[in-house]
Amino acid sequence: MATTTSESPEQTRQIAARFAAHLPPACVVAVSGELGAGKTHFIQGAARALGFADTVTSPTFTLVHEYPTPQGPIFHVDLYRIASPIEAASLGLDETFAAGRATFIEWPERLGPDLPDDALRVHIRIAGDTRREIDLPTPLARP
Amino acid sequence: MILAIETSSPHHSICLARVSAPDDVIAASSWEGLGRSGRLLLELDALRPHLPGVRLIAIGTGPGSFSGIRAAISAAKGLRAVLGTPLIGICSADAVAADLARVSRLGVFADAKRKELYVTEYALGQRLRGPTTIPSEGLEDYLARLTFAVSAEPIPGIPNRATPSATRLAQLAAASWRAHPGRHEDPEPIYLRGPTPTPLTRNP
Amino acid sequence: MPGPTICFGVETSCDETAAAVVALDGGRPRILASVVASQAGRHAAYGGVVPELATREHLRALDWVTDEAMRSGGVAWRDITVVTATRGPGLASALMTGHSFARAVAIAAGKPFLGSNHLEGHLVSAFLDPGAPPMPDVGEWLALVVSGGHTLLAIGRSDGTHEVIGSTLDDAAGEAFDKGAKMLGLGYPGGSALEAAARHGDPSAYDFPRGMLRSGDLSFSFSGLKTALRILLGKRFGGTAPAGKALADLCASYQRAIVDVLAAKATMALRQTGLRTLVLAGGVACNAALRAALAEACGRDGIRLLAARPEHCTDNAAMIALAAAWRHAASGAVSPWDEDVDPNLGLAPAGQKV
Repeated sequence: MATTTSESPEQTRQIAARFAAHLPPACVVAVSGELGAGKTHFIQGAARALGFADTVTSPTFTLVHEYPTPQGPIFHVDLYRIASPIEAASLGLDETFAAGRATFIEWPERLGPDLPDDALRVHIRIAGDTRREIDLPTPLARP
Repeated sequence: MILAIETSSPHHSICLARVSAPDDVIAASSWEGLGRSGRLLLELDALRPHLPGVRLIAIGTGPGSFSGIRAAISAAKGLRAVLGTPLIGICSADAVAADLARVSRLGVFADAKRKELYVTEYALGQRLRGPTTIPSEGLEDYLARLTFAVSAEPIPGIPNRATPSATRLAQLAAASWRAHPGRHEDPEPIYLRGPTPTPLTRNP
Repeated sequence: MPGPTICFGVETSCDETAAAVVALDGGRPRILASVVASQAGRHAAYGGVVPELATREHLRALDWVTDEAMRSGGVAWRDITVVTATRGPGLASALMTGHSFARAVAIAAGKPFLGSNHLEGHLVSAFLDPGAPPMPDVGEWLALVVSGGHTLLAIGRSDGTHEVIGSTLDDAAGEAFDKGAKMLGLGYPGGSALEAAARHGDPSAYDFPRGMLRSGDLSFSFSGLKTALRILLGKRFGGTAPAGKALADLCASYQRAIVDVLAAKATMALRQTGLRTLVLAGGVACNAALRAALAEACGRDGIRLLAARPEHCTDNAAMIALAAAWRHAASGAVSPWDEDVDPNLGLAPAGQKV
């Protein structure tokens, strides 16, 4: 794991774009961090780098957004509305994980034991009004 | 006539047969489900002229793919809302076992996801236990008690393929109908895991 | 002279199972029946909608909401012109139940089927009010659709077409309400709790950012509000939500920031398009502060404000049936039997009319 510092939402997007350039196919990326940490900003940057040019918005309401890219769809999952890991077990996400170019999951802790073992874990910490510390998995953390 | 719909495995099928002679198939069709319900509705539309003569609709209720089974139940309920045709649910594994009625210890498996398998066990076509779920890692031990193990889709460790068919489902439904005429149900997919639901509140 | 278009519709996009029969005659809709089976109480214990649970409940409730709608509407299947169901946006497995059910209803009844867009339902929902003018009299209108999942400005037309001219770049307005309420200790989803707490607060007590207010376009952004609230709670209240007057002031100020942006962008859109009617719809349209702000802005500019009735702001099948009747009557549109649901279905973007 390596930690990178971001000073703005735009910088968070840029860090995510560099991270996304090295993502293996059909991977699951768990993006954790408290409300307002910038998880959606991170996924916006990653989706842009993977070839989705349109707007990336939070799928809090429908839980999953799908963004087409030349290498297959990106799935953007937001489990904020899901309260307990037990109930997250019935989300029916199993097929989603395998089908996409990449699946990004906000609030992954709510998936409990159903988070795939090989999920890449990104954590964003609030370190100031706009400063964020972003933990990235080491093989992919190269700047 | 009896209309049978089987969508619990990736191989979907539909069959229209006579209640009195279920081996006499009037129409049958099968296709790969691919997680979509469109083909089922096209098939139902093609059977439209026969629908008013249908006396019973039978749905394979799994255990298996919730999305496939729910599409079939939803569509069958839609037909019932207009035509009043009774519905019954039949365990899809029973349709497989009926095809393999000479096996002394049969296990019918399906992928339950999340590192679990559905299994239903039969002896000479009669259900012994299940359907239930077992952890995938316990499969090897489980196989030791069986003489034959089948699944509709490829599952590591299960050597044989057998698919539940609407044609067999229609025969089982016709037998059940003859034994209990006038029987009708509100079929649901065979749910072996939570959430544990309770009835809705009315809010007119 | 064609008779009325009578539509039977089903809605299962989230956690309400609904069925309705709506007649559209000369552009004037009449609700013959509208039945909603709410699961909200079932999901509240989990702090949000559980898709698997919602889907199981839809499968159970579809029969009786349908029977109840047909019975109370006093109609037979032969009276129906077209059948519809929501095909998106929403939860995939939930949408699939109602959509498959309704297509089979259409097949069995020998009627055409036309899938509906939930957002199009919101776009026309204000016309379900018996006091609203007929759609052809209005011709073209601006709709502000604000809910937990959507925040958008769109042009609706009585010929059955629409066009989105502005939407959110991040969070929906309803989400900003719900997440703000959560940070203020009011539970989740707590948009209405926040509104209640704001009632006796001073909306000018705290200064929250008005996202994109000076962007010059019709885009919305609400994600900065969360950060502003978090920073304020940290600096002034030691990171925890206050009680009493301070809480009321925080809620009122936070709500005002959302309402200001929505009202300002709607006003800007009205000026840019020259439209004279504003339709307000979606779950957040029940918010009294938003209604008051838009009523004031519209009154100032001589704009007619048509706010959807509260029962048509939340999920219902009457608006879905109206959306389908409206398009079917205008163009004879029908869907193929193998139409798929689309969990991410949007409205037509600007310049690309449907």
